[in-house]
Amino acid sequence: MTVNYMWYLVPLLIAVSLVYAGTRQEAMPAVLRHGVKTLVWIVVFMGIIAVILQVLDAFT
Amino acid sequence: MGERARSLTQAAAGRRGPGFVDEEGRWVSLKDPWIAAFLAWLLPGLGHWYQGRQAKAILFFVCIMGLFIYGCYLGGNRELGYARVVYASFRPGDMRLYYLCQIGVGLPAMPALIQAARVRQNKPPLWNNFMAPPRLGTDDGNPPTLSRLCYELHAYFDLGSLYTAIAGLLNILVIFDAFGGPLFPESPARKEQEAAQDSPSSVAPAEASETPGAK
Repeated sequence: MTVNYMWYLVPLLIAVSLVYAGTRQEAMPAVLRHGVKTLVWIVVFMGIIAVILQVLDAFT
Repeated sequence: MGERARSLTQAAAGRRGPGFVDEEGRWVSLKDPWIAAFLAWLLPGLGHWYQGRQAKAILFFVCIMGLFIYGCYLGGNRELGYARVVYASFRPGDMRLYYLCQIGVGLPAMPALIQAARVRQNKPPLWNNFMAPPRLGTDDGNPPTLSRLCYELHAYFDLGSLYTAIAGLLNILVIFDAFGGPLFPESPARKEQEAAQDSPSSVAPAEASETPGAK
């Protein structure tokens, strides 16, 4: 069975977001809120980059 | 929080040692920051546990060790040995720069140093090649060559390397957090508070009271 390698991004994103948030906040609710924001930010940023690459690929 | 504001807050808290005020207004002591930083390097979360910040200790331990252990699992198998993506090798032809990141997790990456020392002394690696550097050259044998590791593990060799290296890099952030506390994001209210504290009219009395021997 082959697994789409993109799935391996999920635990990485979650861990990076939570650890980064943990170094910016102290109280756990604030850490979790900040972690979710960071996660969304990373996903949106990577999505924008992916769209740009797709557009560039379509025109080359 | 700025360094000046932090030191003033600390002074206002009555010289309780290094620490900071968290979002909920509670004083969080950093105890001995150097010991905390060393413990944080030794095992992710241990420095925070020493400081009494148990929730963050568990969070950091689970996230970082989860990444590290999963990366070790991906980068190995029963036949080749586990954790083959974590190894210390700085030989010509095999400069393993990933290890400089992986050593950030401290003790869990240390077996690689033992294995590297044994290989340097022409002794066979221990523990079924766990964290052992691959054989140089092209002749197959035990331990397997880097080419065979990459061939057998496919992309999982790179994925495992990435997971373990990122775990080590994340722990460097955690070490800084154990040493100096969190780097709170700037908020408008906090900026105003810091500006008020940094203005000469408010700083002068605070400094005067802090100066030893000041009347």
